[in-house]
Amino acid sequence: MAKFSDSNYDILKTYFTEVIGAGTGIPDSWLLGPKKGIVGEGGVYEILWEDNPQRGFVAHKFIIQDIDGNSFNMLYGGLVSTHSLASSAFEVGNDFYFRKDSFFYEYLAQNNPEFRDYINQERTFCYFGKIWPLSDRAGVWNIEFYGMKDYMELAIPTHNRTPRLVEMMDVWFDQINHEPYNMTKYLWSLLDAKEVDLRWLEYIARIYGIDINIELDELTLREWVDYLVYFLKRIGTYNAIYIVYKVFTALSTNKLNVYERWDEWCQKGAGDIPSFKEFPNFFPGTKDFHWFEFYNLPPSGGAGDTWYSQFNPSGAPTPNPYTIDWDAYPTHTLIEPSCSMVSVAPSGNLVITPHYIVEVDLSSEPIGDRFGDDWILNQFYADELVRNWEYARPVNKYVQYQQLISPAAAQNRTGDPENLYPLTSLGYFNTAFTGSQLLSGGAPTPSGGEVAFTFTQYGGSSIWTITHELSAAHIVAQFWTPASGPSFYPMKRIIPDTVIETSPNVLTATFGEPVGGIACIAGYIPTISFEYHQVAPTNPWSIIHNLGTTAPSAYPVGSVANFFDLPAPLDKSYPETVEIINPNRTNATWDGLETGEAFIRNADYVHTQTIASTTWNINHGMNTDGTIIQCYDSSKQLVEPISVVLTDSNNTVVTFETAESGKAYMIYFKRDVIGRADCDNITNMGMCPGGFGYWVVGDGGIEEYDPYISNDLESPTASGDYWRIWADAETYYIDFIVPTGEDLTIREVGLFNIEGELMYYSVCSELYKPSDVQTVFHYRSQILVD
Amino acid sequence: MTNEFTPDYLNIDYNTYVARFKELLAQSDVYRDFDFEGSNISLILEMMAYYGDVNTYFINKVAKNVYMETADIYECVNRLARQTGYEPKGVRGSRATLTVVVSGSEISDGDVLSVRNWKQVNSGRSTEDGDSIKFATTAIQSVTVSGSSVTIQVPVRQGIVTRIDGYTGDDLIDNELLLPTDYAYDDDLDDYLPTIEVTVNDAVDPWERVSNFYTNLIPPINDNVYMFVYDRYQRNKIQFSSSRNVPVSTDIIDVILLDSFGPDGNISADTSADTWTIEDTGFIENETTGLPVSNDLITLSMSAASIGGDDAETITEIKLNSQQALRAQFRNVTENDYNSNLSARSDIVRATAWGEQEYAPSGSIELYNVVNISVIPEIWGTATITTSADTLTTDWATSGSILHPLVYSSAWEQELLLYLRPRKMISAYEIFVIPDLVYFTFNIGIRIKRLASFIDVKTDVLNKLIYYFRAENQEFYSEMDFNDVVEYLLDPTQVSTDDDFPNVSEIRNLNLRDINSNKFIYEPNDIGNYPYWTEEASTVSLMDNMLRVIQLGLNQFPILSDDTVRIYQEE
Repeated sequence: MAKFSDSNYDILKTYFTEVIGAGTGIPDSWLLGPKKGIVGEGGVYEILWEDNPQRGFVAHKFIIQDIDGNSFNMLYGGLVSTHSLASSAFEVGNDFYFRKDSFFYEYLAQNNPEFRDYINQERTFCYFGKIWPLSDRAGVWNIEFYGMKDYMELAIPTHNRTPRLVEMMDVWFDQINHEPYNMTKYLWSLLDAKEVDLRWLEYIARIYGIDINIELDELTLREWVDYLVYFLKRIGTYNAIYIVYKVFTALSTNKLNVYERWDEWCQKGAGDIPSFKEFPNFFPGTKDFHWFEFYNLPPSGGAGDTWYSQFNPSGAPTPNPYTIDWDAYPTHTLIEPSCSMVSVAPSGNLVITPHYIVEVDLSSEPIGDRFGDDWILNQFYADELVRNWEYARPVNKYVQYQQLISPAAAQNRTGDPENLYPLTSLGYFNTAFTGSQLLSGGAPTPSGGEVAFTFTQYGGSSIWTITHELSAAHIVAQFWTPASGPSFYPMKRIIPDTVIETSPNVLTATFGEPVGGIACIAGYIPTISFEYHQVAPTNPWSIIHNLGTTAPSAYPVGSVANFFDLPAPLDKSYPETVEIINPNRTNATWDGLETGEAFIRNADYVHTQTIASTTWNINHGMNTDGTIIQCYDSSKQLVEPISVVLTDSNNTVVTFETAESGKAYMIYFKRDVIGRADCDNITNMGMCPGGFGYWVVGDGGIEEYDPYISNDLESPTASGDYWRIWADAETYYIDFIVPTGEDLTIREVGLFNIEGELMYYSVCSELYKPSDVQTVFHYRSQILVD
Repeated sequence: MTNEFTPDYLNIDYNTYVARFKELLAQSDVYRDFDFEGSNISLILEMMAYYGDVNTYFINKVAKNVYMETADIYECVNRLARQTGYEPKGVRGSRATLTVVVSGSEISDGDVLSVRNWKQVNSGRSTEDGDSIKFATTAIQSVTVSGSSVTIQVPVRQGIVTRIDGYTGDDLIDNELLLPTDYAYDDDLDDYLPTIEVTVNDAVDPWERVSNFYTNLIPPINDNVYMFVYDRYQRNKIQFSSSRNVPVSTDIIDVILLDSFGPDGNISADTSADTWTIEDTGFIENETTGLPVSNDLITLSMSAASIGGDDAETITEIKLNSQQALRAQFRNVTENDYNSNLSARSDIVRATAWGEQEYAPSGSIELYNVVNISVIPEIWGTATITTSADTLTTDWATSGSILHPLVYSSAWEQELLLYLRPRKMISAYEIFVIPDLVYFTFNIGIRIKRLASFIDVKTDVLNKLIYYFRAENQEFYSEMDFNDVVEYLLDPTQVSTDDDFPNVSEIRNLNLRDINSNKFIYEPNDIGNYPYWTEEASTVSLMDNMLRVIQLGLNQFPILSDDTVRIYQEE
């Protein structure tokens, strides 16, 4: 008895005649995907696989020409396989197959679910028929179908095979009976996870007492079921935990961490004095040791070297820069210690406990990348990990499941966010240092008798509304924007179209187009500034300010001036010339008689350009965060440069249209004299463990949301205290734990200081935390360096 | 047996169907007097019976193949075996060790030579079908020349090297690569030598073959792994896994295999008439000069028969082996798990493990989750367990070869911990405890049969005693019952693999006159003093003291001080 075709005749005939029937199709064209190109005019290639005993499975291209009874006549289109055994010279009489990734399978599965039971569509190859040459048609081959209908017809004596009987038998055996026949034939596939219909796959898993989730990627799920026995033979071991992680995270580059928990032998003191260590004592705590430590292996992962250095097998580095109590992997106490003083201090005698932690460090990549989606960890996979890890947990052990994520941040002035993940990732975890507004725009605290203010405009805007709270009648302001790229320097001076003090302490600058940057504003200080009132119309103004004689000697001789129309200080006005007559007198000339006010402020630095040049390279060395600069030519007349660029905090480049000599007068701005004394040090500004400051997570985080304005998360869902904050020379580390207890979908995170000011705001792709899982955040914020 | 229902789960054949059909039709009014022979209706009747017969065949087949014990279809047996965690084996090539001698002008003292892999040698023998029996190297082996020639023991496997190049990721379907069926691929995974090599994109390091995809999952992990399996359709295929790495469509996959003769490749040791020839160039390369050594400077011989060649496992073999696999675990839970896992290493003879149950049944925090492990190494020394010399003095002799284990080599201890870690239960604390060797020596008086040679008997008794105390025949924490020793010595059926101790049969009477140990033997106690007598001295007479059973401690291992054993002839 010849081998039956796996498909029935009717399906094959329909497929070849009505679906990819011969015609004048495009050579080498292919049909791909469900419901694509289902056209009769196509005439496309079908890939058929020759099962050659010597060569293995070899792929060839064919185009159907016609169907003559059981003969499917095909035009040979050439060899597809490229391996060394492949040959286009296939052998007559060899078996030909469809492969599982062929369009034929697509046709069956996607377009015709009613054919589901006619062919086992999970088998890697589906037998079609044997190939025979056609003597009268060059290049055309006959692939011969043979099925149950043919076998049964042979059981009928030849003289009884009437057309009607044959037709009836064809209908019965090919179109009706083929379905139960196929199901019977693959009864034994019911135990093969690779070949069983997906409808029954879970029954195989249940042989092992494992429930599966059919929503998992199909091939992964089938392999998981196929190898379940090897998982079960390892349950209770680290290996079993790792298997689940590998299977359900699809080769993620994130790391799996397992910690074994140790605890003090002596748990309680005399009487009712409780244990000195609360229990359970997962982070924060120092008695949980990375599984690697026992084997003297240093763990690593996306959370960074600093995080993992606390699990250095030999303990904390020497010297320990973080003053955190990190222990080397302990030795199991084998001699009973004295516990008499346990209520006072730990005995230091450790024993291993039945507790352990399973943690996924999500800091290397969003797991969603592996599935072509934009989540860090979604509910499905978060739940599946825990559910399957539970199969591996010994009944007498206690496990804490945990996520670890280590957002990247940078303490900067611009509030530009940092992304934890590469830009190529589909998911993201962006963190902005929202405390930047405190660096530059908080309530000014005069220091050393100076009043100055730096305002930062985050994001481009054509209107800057500056609340400076200088409470000064007159001010001097200049505006700067990053000259290129996201970095702070170089900054170039920009001149607003208008600058109006719209109300006391509120200045409004308008620009022709949206722009971001900083505004440097200097206010009145009696000893170094002077207010001039010109009540009667006069031209020129002769302003005798005497700043040259009254200013402290530390201040260089020279000043900057600003002029205002009356009623001052609402509108700024511009004289035709401004001339420094001497250190104590400045003249302004107008094109007519003029009233108004002038504000003269002594300069903090004076640059003298003795050689005329179009470029003045000013190395002022003030280490300033910004400046106000005015330039005067050799005739002591105020001149406007083409451009002024702050190349860094100590250098400024001024460019003129023509070569000039003269002087430049500059005002010093530095954040430590303009704002909060400790705002550059988060450890001293109320973001500390122990109730100082707090974290909040939420499920908002839409793109349009502006945390600067609201000083809050868009949709807060949980909050708590910090666990620890510490720093090394370059980085602040802010750690906290979102505890177990509730399911949370985290899409935004806010870190607040003790005053409730939002210091960091993170917006991220979905990070799902099941209720029985805790999430450890380990923020790493680069310290601002000027 | 439970297979009585097979193959007659449904015992109706074609003729029975026809007969029953006719019989029942004849009872109806319509067909009461109908003569079916030659009629049109008989056509349908026979066709239905025919189909019923086919159905019956299927039903019986299904019934038989539900259970492993009665299954008779390879496809089903293979699948049922895999359910238990057993991967049925395909053909296995014979393996042998060739003695390779290299000499001549192309090598010099100090040169480093390497025997290259996948090089074929011809044994000069043939199968019954006349095919040459060839062997091949499958791993690279390096040696340094000392003098003017070098002799290398080269392990080889029987088979013809078969290379299939240029597969791509597109040749994979469901992460599987089906291989041509005409070859009998060497499928041996038990041998330490590889039988297959899979490389992707000409990488220097081939991918690693694993027995299942959950092995070697301890970081740092090599995810470039594959399985080479003999599937339920009796086809060889290379399998990759989505949980490890899978070549993508642009990757080029090259495969080297051995086409083996299976059992027909098992050949005897060389006779003087046998001559081996090297079939490939570059069999040996001189790494120092960078040149291949000419084949005519190399001589090959095989002093022991090649073994291990076998056909693909039969249904019966799979059934037997899968039962054993069902019980095997990849985790260390019991003492047996530790012992078998550690003893599988070539550098360990015996191992034991114990925990709270044995140590402190009353319960104590100090022993929670602690697994104490002790091992007997194949070779004592700084590479394993350092020892100091001790002495054992008896009334009749003194031994200077007593070893006193001191400390594990830290590197070896770490190596063992790393070896154990894939199977360590979570939150178990494994520590290695120094084994305590308890030496015994005996004063034995024997009376022999009249015509026997005392010297011969003495030699065999001593050899049998040495064999009895060989480490692989002893266990930690054992009871040393000297009646057992006597019975063993006198039992002629107790023999070793290479010595039958025939002269033991000449003993008329054997008495253990004195027993000495290097340890103090405590009286029975429950405070952990080992070794101890299991019976109080007061319960036995003084004359019987020597036969009291001795219980060794958890880390104590019995060993024979053979150079102090005294065997004398009693009148």
